[in-house]
Amino acid sequence: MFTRRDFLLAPAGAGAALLARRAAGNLLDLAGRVPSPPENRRASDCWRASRGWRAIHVLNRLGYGPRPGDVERVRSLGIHPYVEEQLSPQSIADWPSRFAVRRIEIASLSAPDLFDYPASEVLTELRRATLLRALFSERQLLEVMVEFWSDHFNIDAAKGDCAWLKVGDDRDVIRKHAMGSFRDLLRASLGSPAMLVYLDGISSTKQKPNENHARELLELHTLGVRGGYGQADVEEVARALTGWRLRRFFSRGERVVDAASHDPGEKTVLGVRLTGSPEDNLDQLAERLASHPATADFIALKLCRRFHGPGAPSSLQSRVSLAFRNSKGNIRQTLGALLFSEEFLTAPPKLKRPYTFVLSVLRGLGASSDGGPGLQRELDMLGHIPFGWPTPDGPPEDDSRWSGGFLGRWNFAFRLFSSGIRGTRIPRHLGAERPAQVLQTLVQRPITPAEEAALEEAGDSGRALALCHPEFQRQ
Amino acid sequence: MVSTGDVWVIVALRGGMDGLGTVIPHGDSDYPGWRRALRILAPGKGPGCCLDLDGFFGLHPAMAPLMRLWEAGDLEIIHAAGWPGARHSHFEAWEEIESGVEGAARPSSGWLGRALTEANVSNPLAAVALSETLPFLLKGFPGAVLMPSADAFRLEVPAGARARVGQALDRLHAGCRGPLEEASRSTLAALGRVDEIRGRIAAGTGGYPATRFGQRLRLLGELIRSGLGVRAAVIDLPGWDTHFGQGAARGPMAEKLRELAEGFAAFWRHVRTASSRVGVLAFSEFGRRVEENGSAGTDHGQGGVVLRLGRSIGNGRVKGSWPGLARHQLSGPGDVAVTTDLRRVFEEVSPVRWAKPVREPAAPAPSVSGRPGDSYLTK
Repeated sequence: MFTRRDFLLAPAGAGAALLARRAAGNLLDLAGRVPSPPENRRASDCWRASRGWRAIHVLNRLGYGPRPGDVERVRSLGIHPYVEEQLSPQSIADWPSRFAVRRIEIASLSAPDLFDYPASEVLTELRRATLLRALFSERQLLEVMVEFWSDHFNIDAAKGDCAWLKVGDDRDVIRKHAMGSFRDLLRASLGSPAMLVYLDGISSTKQKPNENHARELLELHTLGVRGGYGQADVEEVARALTGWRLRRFFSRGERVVDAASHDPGEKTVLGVRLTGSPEDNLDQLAERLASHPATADFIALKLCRRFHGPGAPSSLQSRVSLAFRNSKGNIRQTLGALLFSEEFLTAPPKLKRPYTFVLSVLRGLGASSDGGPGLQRELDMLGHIPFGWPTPDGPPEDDSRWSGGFLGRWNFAFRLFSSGIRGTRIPRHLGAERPAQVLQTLVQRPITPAEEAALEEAGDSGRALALCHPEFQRQ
Repeated sequence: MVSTGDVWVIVALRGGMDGLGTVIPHGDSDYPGWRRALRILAPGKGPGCCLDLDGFFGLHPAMAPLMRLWEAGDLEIIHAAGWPGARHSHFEAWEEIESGVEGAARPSSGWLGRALTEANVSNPLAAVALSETLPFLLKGFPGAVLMPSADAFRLEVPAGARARVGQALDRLHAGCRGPLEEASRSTLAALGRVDEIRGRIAAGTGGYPATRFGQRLRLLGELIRSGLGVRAAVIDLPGWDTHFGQGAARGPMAEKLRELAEGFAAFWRHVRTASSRVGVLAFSEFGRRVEENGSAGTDHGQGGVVLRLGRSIGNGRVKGSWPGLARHQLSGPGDVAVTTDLRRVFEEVSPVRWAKPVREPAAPAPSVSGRPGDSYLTK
């Protein structure tokens, strides 16, 4: 019998044929329930009234929500083939995304050249590229993982030179390794100029090592706060991270070893001895931390929280952690263990964070956007703009932290429909559609008479009101 | 207390405010040895001198606006206060402090949220968070409202349509039930109330700092004075994580302290005579290390400073038992020892019993240069 394990062990692509056969047996599930109006349903049940709810589910979780036609596309391809395709982004052609970012110059520049431009301009362009990719890329899971790791290795572009330096970090740390090896991702982050500035490594000396990066490395990036490290480990890691500065004149923004500030002695971190040059120390550190069992548990916990939601069963977390360990921290394979699980595929709805909500609106309506300052300002007002979170823990996953912010979402909807967001436009035909039709496009199920009446009551604002429906706040 | 109609304003000083650099123990002979670049001088004529509070402690000069409150007895300072158990991690510390319970098996709600729920407050503006995301402190009270600014708090539709759209939103949320829907209904009710005071908030700075913190305090002052039923508010003032380039009498931390002091002074002028009794409680997740680090800054520590505003709550002396700064008196890797548990301070706000008994911090060794201050617990 074909099992998940067979899939994970099979080379990418070969699994598709096997899965297509299995998917055929599941067609009845997809054709599924006869959709019925959600009168008096509990919020957690409303979502299953849609035809093809599984397709909607994976489009909502593996990406930023379905665009018009996506649900049909995924239903005909099959859920498992779709997930598998998303797990191999390099196999997806993705010309829409490349086309969208073609004119963004800074995307291909490196730190020394970027300093010719004002920081605000560089940051706006970086955010523009990020938003356009999230909106238009076919490699949706990749974009979601880029967001996940950007949150995990959080950098606030407002600090010091980080606006210029984050461009390189986004490209060479996050995007390069988002679905590759966690060890490589971690090592790249340890070598990131942006991270050196953000977590104060740039002023750390061997006489007085700065503990900021050391602490966040253990607490937020690898083992987690209860991962079994102590203050002594923090101090030793701080010693191992000393010795780096950034060039200030030629090749500005590049990392360079500064022997005077490096603590050359032996360090012992979590029972392992670190020796050699500053480079060696980073290599050894990455190896030790990436292979620590607590890291597997912590990364699994975070991935489950992101994809499944707050109630992820511990059995799922254990399996994902095991997959991480067995694959030596291969992110793609770890994701496979999570995304093909029955728990994930039937996970209850969870609240969309503001960033996901905004993107799901634009995708769901087929809107066009330049990803520029107009849209960025909307995200800033909702408190969830890329590279703008001030603290190293990154934007929270917890639903309740984003509750109470619905007025912001409602006003975003009103501004969108009154052409109040520069650079972002809804398709013209939507202006003539009935509000109930707009709602139906978004939630993909028949609308009840009560809902229709509520939308009509809002008059001209009825179409915008569709975006405020509680069901659409969830994914 | 929350249940008796008082208004409590919690100011979260995020980042770990350096207690030693805010309320300087100028009477402690061990102080100058630990702080060179960051030293604030004993009370005197120059700009680098602290402002004497009670003969042993002095206030950072940038906080001069608070001296009037101190002299009037409306400002209370507690030193060497903190959360028991050395937690040098910002995020775990805040989670514990906001939940009110130490250790891993803590509830996923904030002590303030629980207190509000238990006090059965139902006014739509009972709990206001002046931020973009809901603080953990208010979790457990589904009616909490987010209000990052006055302007942000209205429906952006033509004025004539607002009532109708509000009603339509209400109907739209009638079909499904859940915490999301409750939060939305709470917001709709609050919208109506805030419309009433929008005009007052629009012009100028009102005498508050022109910063986000200052203007949010101003909005809060207006909300409280309008008798709209606010019972608890939470506001953040981040930026205290001074690992690098902290500054002494002048510098980044001094600027933050100035902002804090000017904000509080303006706020107190605004609400001191409001009909509800207002209390302000400002605290940080921990203090900072006694010895400055190699980057002219300080690393995470333990004991820190708690500030409280309230009518006639001060008595001219800094409260708390000063543990001393001699090396053997420091805690852990070199921190100010905690002698007043934050939970005792929180109990002033909420009578809710903690899930575990409050653990008394170990009594500090008698200090040579320290002095026995009032124990906060026996005031």
